Amino acid sequence: MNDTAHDVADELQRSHPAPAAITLSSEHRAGIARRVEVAIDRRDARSRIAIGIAAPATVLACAVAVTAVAVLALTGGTPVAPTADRPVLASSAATRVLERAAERALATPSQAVREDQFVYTRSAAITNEGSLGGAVVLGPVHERETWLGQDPGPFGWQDDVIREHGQDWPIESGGASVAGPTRPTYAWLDALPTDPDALLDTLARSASPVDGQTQDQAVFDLIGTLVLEQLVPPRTAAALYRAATRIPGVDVDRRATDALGRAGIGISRADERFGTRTTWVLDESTSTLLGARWYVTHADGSPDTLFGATAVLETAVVDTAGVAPGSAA
Amino acid sequence: MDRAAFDAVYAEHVDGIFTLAHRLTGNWATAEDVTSETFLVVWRSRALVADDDRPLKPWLWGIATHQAMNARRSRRRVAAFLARRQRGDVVPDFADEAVERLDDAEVLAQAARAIAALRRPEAEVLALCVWSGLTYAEAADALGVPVGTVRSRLSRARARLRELVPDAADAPDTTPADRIVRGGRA
Repeated sequence: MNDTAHDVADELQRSHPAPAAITLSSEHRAGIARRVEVAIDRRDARSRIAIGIAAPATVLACAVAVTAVAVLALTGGTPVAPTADRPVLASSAATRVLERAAERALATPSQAVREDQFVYTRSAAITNEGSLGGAVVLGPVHERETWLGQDPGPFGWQDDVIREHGQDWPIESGGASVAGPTRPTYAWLDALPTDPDALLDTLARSASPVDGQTQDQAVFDLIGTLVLEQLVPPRTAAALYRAATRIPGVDVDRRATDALGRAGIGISRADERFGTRTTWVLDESTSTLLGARWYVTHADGSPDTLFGATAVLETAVVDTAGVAPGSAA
Repeated sequence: MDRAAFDAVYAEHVDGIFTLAHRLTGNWATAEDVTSETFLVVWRSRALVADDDRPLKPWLWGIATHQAMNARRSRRRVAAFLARRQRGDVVPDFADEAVERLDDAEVLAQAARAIAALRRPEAEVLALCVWSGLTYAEAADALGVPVGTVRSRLSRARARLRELVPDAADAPDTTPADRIVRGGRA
């Protein structure tokens, strides 16, 4: 090719001139800025809740230490006995629920997931549509679908998509991001320790407390991130539920419902630093995970304010991002 | 980068990123999505930005290009693309605000045809080197490819545009820009 590159650009500039630059109105600029704030809020809500409320709240949950022996007694002939390395610190009621969830998880089949595939989830969600730091304004219950790439490489996330509010939102990692705690693939989850104490050690290294949050809360949030709106290998799911029994302050919420109002039993922990409470909702009879709820707690003891909820509708493994199971590509 | 620094970056670059996104997607609503997604990435990457004294623009334009091309692909995939006016935002239509003269509409329509005719890597260098005035080195930085690759993509873009839309600039335009823009908003 004889042309210098600049000739090419110049020629293209003449044949295909740039459309006029757009100057946004101040209303437009502010409107997009608001959307960025809402998006920051929503992304944070997916992993950890931060809505600018940092007032310390009354801690309702009370850590009750029970021994690992008690867990064995409660669970009967469970095939995977928890090791006694760490004490069980969740309430005894919460420990029973989590142990049942672990057993239930072990009874489900594991999946074969290839690196070129996507983990698909479909959920109902209620999200906070209020502005960052402002009052909670709950939006209507709506459907949310996610496709998470399983390629463990640094750009394995590049086709990841959230479909919500009738639009596709690419899930950006803002650079290289290999499979790991912030981008858990099925294979990465499958490689985690299945001993709950060893798993807890691993999680403790990955969990990073934010702005004065406790390490226990960070680990609880990380476990929530790994089990919610995800496909988790059975042995890992069981170990994650059992690991949660080693976290102080984990208690049951007997009247928990998911985003669709399906009643279940809640596993709950209050984040004192952020004045929030997260509840995982499990089906009382089957012990499967139904969804989650997030609340703002109040120091004066008034009832918690719901600011988000999800309900799992479907999880699957699909070949193509953006294509739901059973639909044509 | 703290919040004030982020706000400063936003104020300085929001128009440029929106313009780039609009050229690449031909759609006002999608350009809004792309712009907000781009700044979301900036916010999430703010720790990296603080440690890096390279110019911000190639990095920003690279993110926006990536987001815009992903948005195009997503739109193709979603059969029923429902544009949503979130939280009651009512914005003046593209035709009212961005295009004041007929020539602008024609240039925009031609740009939309060019982007549609090109493969993704070629469309990206057209938008960055020809329309955004990035140097080849900056475009290479933005796209994470060697400078030579930028050059060869640009040459391929020119060849393809000569081949596919030989008389685009001369033909009477039967595709008003507002139709292109509104196409995704039905």
